[in-house]
Amino acid sequence: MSAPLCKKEFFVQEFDFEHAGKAASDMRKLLMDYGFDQQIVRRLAIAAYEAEMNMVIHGFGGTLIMEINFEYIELVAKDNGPGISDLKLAMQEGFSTASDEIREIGFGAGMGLPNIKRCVNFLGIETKPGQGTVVTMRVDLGPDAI
Amino acid sequence: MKKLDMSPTAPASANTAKEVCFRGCIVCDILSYAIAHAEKGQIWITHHTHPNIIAVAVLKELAAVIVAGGRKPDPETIRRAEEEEIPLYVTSYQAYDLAKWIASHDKEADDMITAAGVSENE
Repeated sequence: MSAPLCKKEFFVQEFDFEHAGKAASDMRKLLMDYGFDQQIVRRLAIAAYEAEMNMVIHGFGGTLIMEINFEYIELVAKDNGPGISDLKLAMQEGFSTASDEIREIGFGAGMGLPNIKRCVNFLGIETKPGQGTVVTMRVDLGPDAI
Repeated sequence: MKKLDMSPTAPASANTAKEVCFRGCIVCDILSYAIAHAEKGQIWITHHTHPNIIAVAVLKELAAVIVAGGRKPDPETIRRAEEEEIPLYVTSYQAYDLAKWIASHDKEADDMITAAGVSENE
């Protein structure tokens, strides 16, 4: 595979609700500045935001990496969290392991991963209990993407 | 897009306009629900006061955020709204009353209710 045209890393802090969403927002602005199609930017921003919130809430923080390739933009969210013990359940809309405190501020509705799935062309999740989670998301770039 | 006089609300900061151009409205307190279902140009009525509501509003390109039920946004939320140029308002109205008032200024909402009524009766 050829090297990406552009690669950016955004750091995400655990339980930092003050800055939560900043990685997704910075990434969105960058893609807008590059002049990508608005619909593509919107889909990537939603996927990035949900992945970022998962790292803030569940993943003990982590890194969001964006790579622009010729055919697609890839986002990789890597965390050092507890891992997902039942991936099938986690993909089910409405299922969440978030605490009551998290739910009180409007997160933890069990919609994050389903929201991501709706926005991307490819979603891959590698996870092992105790060894963190790597979420890979790709949005294809059509001929009119830029 | 229609212009809405925001007088039943108060701007959260001094330089927020008293009118907002909008198309429709969403009422919810689950952030991922807003992310999944809000549409560009809508007004979002919520009870949350923390800065993340602005992150969601930016993400979905919303016309404005109204914090209902007399709740006060955090100072950081107001700062973030100014920075991101998201019109943020507060109101002592309950969400239902506020939505009713917005809907009364939104012809498309009437059309939608009529259309929903028709399909239900069929």
